[in-house]
Amino acid sequence: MGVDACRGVISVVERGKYIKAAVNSGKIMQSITEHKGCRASAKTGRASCGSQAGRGDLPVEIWERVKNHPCYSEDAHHHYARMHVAVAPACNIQCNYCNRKYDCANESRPGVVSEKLTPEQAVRKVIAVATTIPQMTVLGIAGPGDALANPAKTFKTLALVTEAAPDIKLCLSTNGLALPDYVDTIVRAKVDHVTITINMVDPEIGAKIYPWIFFNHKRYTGIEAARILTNRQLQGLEMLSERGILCKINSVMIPNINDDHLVEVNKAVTSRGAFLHNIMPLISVPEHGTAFGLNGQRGPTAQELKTLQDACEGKINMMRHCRQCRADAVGLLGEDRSAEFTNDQVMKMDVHYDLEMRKAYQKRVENERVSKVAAGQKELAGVSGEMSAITVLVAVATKGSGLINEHFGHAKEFQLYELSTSGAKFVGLRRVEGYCQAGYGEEDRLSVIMRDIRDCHAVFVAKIGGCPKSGLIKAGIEPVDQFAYEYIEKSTIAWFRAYVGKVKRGEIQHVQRGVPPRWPGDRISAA
Amino acid sequence: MCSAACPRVGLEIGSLRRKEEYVPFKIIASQCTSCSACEPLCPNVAISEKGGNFVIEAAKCSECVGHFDEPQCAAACPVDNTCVVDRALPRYQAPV
Ligand code: SF4
Ligand code: SF4
Ligand code: SF4
Repeated sequence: MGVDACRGVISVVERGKYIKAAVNSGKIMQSITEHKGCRASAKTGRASCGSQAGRGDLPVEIWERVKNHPCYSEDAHHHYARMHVAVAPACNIQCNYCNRKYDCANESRPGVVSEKLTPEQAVRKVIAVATTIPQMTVLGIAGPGDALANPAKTFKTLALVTEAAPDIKLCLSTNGLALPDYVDTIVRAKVDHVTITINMVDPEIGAKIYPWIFFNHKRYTGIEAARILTNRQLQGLEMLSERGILCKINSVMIPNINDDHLVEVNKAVTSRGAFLHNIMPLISVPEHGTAFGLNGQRGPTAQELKTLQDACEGKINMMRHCRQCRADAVGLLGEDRSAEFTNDQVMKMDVHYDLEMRKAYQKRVENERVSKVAAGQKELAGVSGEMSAITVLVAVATKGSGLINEHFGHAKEFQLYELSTSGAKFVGLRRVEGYCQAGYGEEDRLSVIMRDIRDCHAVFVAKIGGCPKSGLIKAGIEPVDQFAYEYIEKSTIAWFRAYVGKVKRGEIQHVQRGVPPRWPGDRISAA
Repeated sequence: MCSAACPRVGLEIGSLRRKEEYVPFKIIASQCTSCSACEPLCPNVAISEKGGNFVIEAAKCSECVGHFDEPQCAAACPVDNTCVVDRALPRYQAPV
């Protein structure tokens, strides 16, 4: 699809805190909490800085609920998959970044269309996927419109799935307008997680984002519309929190409209019990035909996004691995296997739900996670004694499972890890997939990747060709392939240890790479 | 009596209109995204999906008069000027 190529590159980097979890006889225990240089936690006195690495300081009960959820736990996203079923085409509001020829841009990347399903077709698809991809643990209803603007279809799908596949966690996404009316239905439907898209808490700003809403059989416009919407969203969030449902807040960052204001939004949702805040970049190009696309509203740069995410981190976990998946996405985050599961194909498949097989598979995944963490811990023990202020950023080519298992030439995205004596911390993603299409030769792809990861000291890959290898070395980025198919954390820490050693012995000099420009940090911290 | 019970218009007795007097709405198929937002909102169940397209049965449409202040399909439709008055059909008396 042509529009895919125009998709913005989302790159998120974050420095600061680090949590590492050790797994002990099935129970995850926090073993190291290192928050040196953690601005946010120093400020709040909080021991952890997110659900990135492992359990951190999450209460056991919450960790149990999020540990298999690829969106709610950064660590889980290496191992577990989610799927969305597109059963909810209608919407009850209009957003300026959305063109409803396509899917909802709140939860999906704009410019893609999903195959709409009936609840019965959706359930068949869920079972087919659950059987083929046993690490699929989460089903979400995220459009293509608003889950709660299609209550009959949404709740019917959830009920059918609960019946057929009781071990699958359910989530749904909503703009929040109808939320207060459905909170009890959501509880009854055993929904684990709800995502609410909240872009503002100030109706004046809301009027610039939402031209109208449809509420109580009336169309409202302007500030009145935005006031109703924000009241309903916050009320819905409070009601869900009271009932113990985990809420993730999605916010679309729109430069010069709500960028600075999202700090206020962050405070408002934190105080109302939201669990995770996911600030996503506006993706805006004229071809999508959205109001913002047509009026030239730009999206934020990776750096602007990171600065804002950093400014918001503190009392609430910030999500930094969101892939803005489409409403019919299937698979691990970052991969999309929806093409294998079109309605036609699903109808042809022999679907039979095998709970035992899924349980056994997931047990193996858990064992993998345990050994991954243990291997990382062991490696870390070697560096933690060293006192070194050096932090370096490295890029990793991976297909999942926490392994360095992707060929440099095939990587659609690189995962960024920040390495320091406190360990390896996942800090974001750099996408390159949009560029590897026809019209771009190898040469171009390489220079695009080098630009995207220019702030990295090394790139870890399973394999790399001679040409890109020398290109990277010339650009000062070390291609590392001796850790092929090994665990990311263990390998990156081992490399880091050697790096620090070389610096100490004076063999090489540590240089900070490509420090990106600051923006709008000053304004934000003043706000 | 009948005026109070009438789900359609609730007009004064004596001024009950025949169904042609309503202004039927239609959906401009080329603009419709088939999002289904309008369908459950129609108080007269005039909207249905026919082979992937949403259509309004003109004979059932009352322009929502007596039910709501605005035509529901037009108010909820995400595409401007897609649920519109069908001028091709007779219109004896525009509602005030
Ligand atoms: S869009 Fe973001 S939150 Fe939703 S499934 Fe994808 S990664 Fe998770
Ligand atoms: S105007 Fe009202 S009665 Fe007519 S089709 Fe639309 S919703 Fe139904
Ligand atoms: S609301 Fe509009 S776009 Fe959606 S199905 Fe009805 S007529 Fe079509």
